[in-house]
Amino acid sequence: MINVLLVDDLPEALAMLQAVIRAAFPEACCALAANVSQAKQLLDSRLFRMALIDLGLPDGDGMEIIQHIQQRQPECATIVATIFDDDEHLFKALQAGAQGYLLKDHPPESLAQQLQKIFEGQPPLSPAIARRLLRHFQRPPSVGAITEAELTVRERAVLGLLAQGIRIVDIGNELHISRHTAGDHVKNIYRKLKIKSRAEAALHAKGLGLI
Amino acid sequence: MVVATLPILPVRRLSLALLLCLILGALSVALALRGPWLGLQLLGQEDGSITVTQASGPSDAIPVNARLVFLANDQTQLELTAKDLIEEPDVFDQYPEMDDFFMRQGELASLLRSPEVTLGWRVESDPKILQTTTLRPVERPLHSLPLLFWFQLAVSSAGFLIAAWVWALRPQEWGARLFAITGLSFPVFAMPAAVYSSRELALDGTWFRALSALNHWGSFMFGAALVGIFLCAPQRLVGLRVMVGLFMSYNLWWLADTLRWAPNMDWGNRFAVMSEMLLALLLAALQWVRSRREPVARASLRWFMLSLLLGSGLFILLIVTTASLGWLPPMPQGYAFGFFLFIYMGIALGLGRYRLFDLDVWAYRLLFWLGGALLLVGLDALFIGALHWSGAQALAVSLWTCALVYLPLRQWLWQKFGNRSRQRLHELFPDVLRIAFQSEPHARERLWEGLFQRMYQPLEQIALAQDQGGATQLTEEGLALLVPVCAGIPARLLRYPAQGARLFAPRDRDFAETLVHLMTLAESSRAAQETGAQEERQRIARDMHDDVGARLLMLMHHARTPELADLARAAMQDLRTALAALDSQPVLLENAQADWRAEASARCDAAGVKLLWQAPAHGLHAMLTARQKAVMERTLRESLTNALKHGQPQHIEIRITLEAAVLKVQISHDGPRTAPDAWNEGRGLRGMKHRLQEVHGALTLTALSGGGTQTILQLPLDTKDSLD
Repeated sequence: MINVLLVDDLPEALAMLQAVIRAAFPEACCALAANVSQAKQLLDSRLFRMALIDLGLPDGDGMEIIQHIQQRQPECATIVATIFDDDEHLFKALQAGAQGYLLKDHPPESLAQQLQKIFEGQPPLSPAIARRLLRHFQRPPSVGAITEAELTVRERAVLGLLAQGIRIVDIGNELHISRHTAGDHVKNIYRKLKIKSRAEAALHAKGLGLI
Repeated sequence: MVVATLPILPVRRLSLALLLCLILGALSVALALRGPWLGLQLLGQEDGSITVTQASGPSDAIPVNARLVFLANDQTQLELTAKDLIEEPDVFDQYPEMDDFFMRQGELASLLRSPEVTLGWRVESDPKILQTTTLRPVERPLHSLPLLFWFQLAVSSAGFLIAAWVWALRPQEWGARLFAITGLSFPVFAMPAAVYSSRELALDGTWFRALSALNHWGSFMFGAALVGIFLCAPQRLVGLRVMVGLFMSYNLWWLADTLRWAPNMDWGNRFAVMSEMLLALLLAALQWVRSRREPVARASLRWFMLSLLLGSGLFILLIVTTASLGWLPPMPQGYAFGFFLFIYMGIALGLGRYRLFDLDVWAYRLLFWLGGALLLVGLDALFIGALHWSGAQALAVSLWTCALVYLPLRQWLWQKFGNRSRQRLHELFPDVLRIAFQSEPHARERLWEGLFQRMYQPLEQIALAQDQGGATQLTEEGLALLVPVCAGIPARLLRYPAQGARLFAPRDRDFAETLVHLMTLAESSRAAQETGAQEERQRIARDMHDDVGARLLMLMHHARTPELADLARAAMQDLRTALAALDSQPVLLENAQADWRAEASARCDAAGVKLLWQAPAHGLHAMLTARQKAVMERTLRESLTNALKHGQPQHIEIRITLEAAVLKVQISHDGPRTAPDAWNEGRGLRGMKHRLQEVHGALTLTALSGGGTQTILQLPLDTKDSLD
């Protein structure tokens, strides 16, 4: 059984997400939360394999929940479910450790597919976010940077193509790799983003004399 | 006070030069006043006689226009001819003639030294009667020296001081050293000439000969230094040995002239001067050719050549050449010396403009200082000498005159030449504000570039990819000005100001620095305003997100038919596009294209339709305004919807091109459809057309010959909307 946490202040959205989860993972068991505090309570009481989180919540920001999950249940796959593809917010969520995102207005069948892919380690990456990632990784490695947080040439190539709006399938064709390999690259990019972001945050905190 | 800010050494050097100049001047005056004076002003006539143009002092009794016949003392009597009044002995072609002249001058001079002399004269009305006047020669008074004398003293002093000024600032540079030699040579040839050309009637023969030799030596050294300048500036062509050799040979030549080894004046003197001029010309030409790849050197060389060749060339043409051709000089040699001042004035003016000898505007300060000192000393001397005032009285009046004349003059000159930029700052201020408040970065950069273009008219203006550090700076020896990154505009390099006619000077750098500072300030206030607007936009977006977004989501959820849900979904996407356009930031066409491609791919995938996306891999370098992007995005989305919904195609091809600043998006599909003429223009199509027209775009629909439909969206990017 897969425990899934759904956080959204809109009951319709919760219902829709629940339907999507059922379609994607028939054996899933959903726990619903309408705000940050409910979500935190649930997270403190049981283990989840997956969490779908809306960013704008009545009593706070979905980011808080993502951070909470990163601290308490790092094994839990965190996915942002939003209606805005505004890369500013999504990027922050990804840096904080979210493993993907869904746009809630997509048709339920498509959402179920996307969710399965994320769960299998093939997160989506819009061109806007890919561009942001490129910029992020282009920054020269700072002092004390960790090499495993830097992108490989291949990963950079994949990211570059994604930034041009090219689909993973076509990227695989273009680079003569399978779509799964291309997807793995994306997964690694996500992972490295998290590492790099954390390293930088730590470095920054050190610079400020916080640790 | 200005003096305090000046480096000590140049001032000291310049003071030394000033002292030397004063000594030379005083010496000239003393020599000119030496010897007895009759109180006459004489003029040689064409027929060889001498007439009196003015008589005063001892010769009060002699009427004006009287013709002088002889000069005698109790032992000797000498007939007087116009030849005795020859200004410049160089007009003689043969040395014996010249030596005769000197000898006769000596005889006349010794005659004049008698306590009493007798002048024999005739008047025009009664030419037969010879009248005599006996008089006692007195000491020559200062006021009897003619204007020509002072003119020669003044121009040669000015030239010398300017040359000394350049040298005082750059004593290590060979060009400046040689320039200083030309300057020193100027009084050496002009002052003796001033003395003997303004004699009353005669000068002691030995003195005259010595002064003439000194005059020759001065002109030889002047010419040699001129040749020397072109031997080492802007490019050093020869070593020190050749330079010493040059001066040695002309000194030898001069010796040959003075000791009468040369056959005649042409060989002894004129050819020497002309050969120097010719050599200088040839070397200047050589330097010109050699500096063809160095605009800096060329610009200064051009100015230098113009000044030098114009100044000395005119003199040589008018005096030396006419003499060697046996003509009479068209003007008194003394006044022709004024041409030499062209050289020094030209150099002085060219210093700031071309940084000759690597000097700059600040060098003028020293010149102003010199001018002030000279004025003070000059007035002092004038008051004491001419008005017989006491020293203290004279000093007080001189100081006051300096304060009243010199200081305001200096102020005026300084503003006129030194600080033009300050006046322009307030004129440029509105421009800077306009640029800073331009929200579109490309337009901002364009206007910033335009501002510098107007200000400095550089031949070249390059935007630099990398920041070169914080400060505005002069580079490439003043050829270029580097303007740092400022207000998000990349750093830029300005080259060859004033269409290549001048170099950048430190004051240009300071002015640009001020502009950059101003721009940064204005930009930060704009950014603050922008942040406010941004926050407001974000608030609107959040409201829309929470409100409209949620409702649309509910609509999707509760929609009774899939069509209704799709409608809500399309509305949602349009809302997203609209909200993205809210922040009004322009978008790179490449990026917009990527977003469209990703969205179209996802939709075609979901509909099971094969999408062929064709866009140039590179070459979509253009900017779309937020509005242009939104309009194109919505229109493209709707066209795709139409194609997917009504056409039911198997393939969709989207081709994006950018030609002549027109963005063209072609959407073709192979779905069966009736001919476009038969279509009813629904609300959707009308809306699309209307929206495109608002941004000067157009939409056309055509049926493809092989079946299927093509929609062409066109959007000109380079319109006023897209740039401002």
